[in-house]
Amino acid sequence: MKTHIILASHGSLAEGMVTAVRMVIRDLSDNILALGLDQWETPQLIRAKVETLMKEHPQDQFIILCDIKGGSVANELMTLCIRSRVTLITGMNLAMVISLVLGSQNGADCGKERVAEILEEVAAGICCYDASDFRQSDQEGDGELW
Amino acid sequence: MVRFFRVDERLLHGQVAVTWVSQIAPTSILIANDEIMENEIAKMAIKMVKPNGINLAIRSISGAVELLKDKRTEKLQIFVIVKTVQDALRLVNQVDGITHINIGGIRKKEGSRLIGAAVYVNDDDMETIRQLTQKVGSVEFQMVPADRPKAAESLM
Repeated sequence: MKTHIILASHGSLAEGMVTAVRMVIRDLSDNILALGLDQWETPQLIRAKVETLMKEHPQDQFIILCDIKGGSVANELMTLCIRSRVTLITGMNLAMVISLVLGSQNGADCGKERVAEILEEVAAGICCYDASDFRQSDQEGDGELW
Repeated sequence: MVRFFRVDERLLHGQVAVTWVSQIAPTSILIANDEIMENEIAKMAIKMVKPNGINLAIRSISGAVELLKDKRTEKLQIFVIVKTVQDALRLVNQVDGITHINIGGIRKKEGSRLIGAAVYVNDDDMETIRQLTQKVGSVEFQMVPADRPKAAESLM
């Protein structure tokens, strides 16, 4: 099943995110679309664009990533979740987008279970470091292969 | 067993961690480098990049040789990363079963010339790569899986 990844945000966060993803995934396919309010003006216009895309591809899966939970873009697009094969995720970050792109490539089914796994991994990647962690790492040693 | 062997002057870093690890699906990553053993900050940086669910070991070259000879590694799928082709040759001369060498990036240094994206080789590097090709057979330049690999022999 083909998956469309839609990034929707305030400002140009979505467009910027695509440039970052491209640095890591060089041959990024065209199934990723960035819709930021700088270019698209209103959440309603973003929604209209997504709806048009959904009409054009009624059998495909859509994963919509929004920048912030409770934001006007997420709120507006949330109503699209009522349709089948639509997932909406808030709090997009680079790790999340990369994992979802890789997880839905080549027709792979990136269903709710896989998305939940990815979000767990991504959450584990949100970390805070300072000098005290370097001292701790010293005690941890150099790791084992098994 | 060694599932994949890579030379990358940046060892384990973002792009490599994501794309190659995704491609290779190793159980474990072994970083083999002498200089890093004294550098806690560099080790820390590598530990930060480690993907979840994959074991990571950082060792000196001789420590890595010892580890790879341990029977417990037989059932593992190990992604080995070294910094230079010289380190690769040292390892390959002491450990059996390495059938392919992937060369990602080699740092620019005195007397080196650019032969591909992010790959600079001087005469010593060329000679080392020649010996690697003789010893291992398959040596290819390939930065990320999406790139087309280039056989080292084509440069000899």
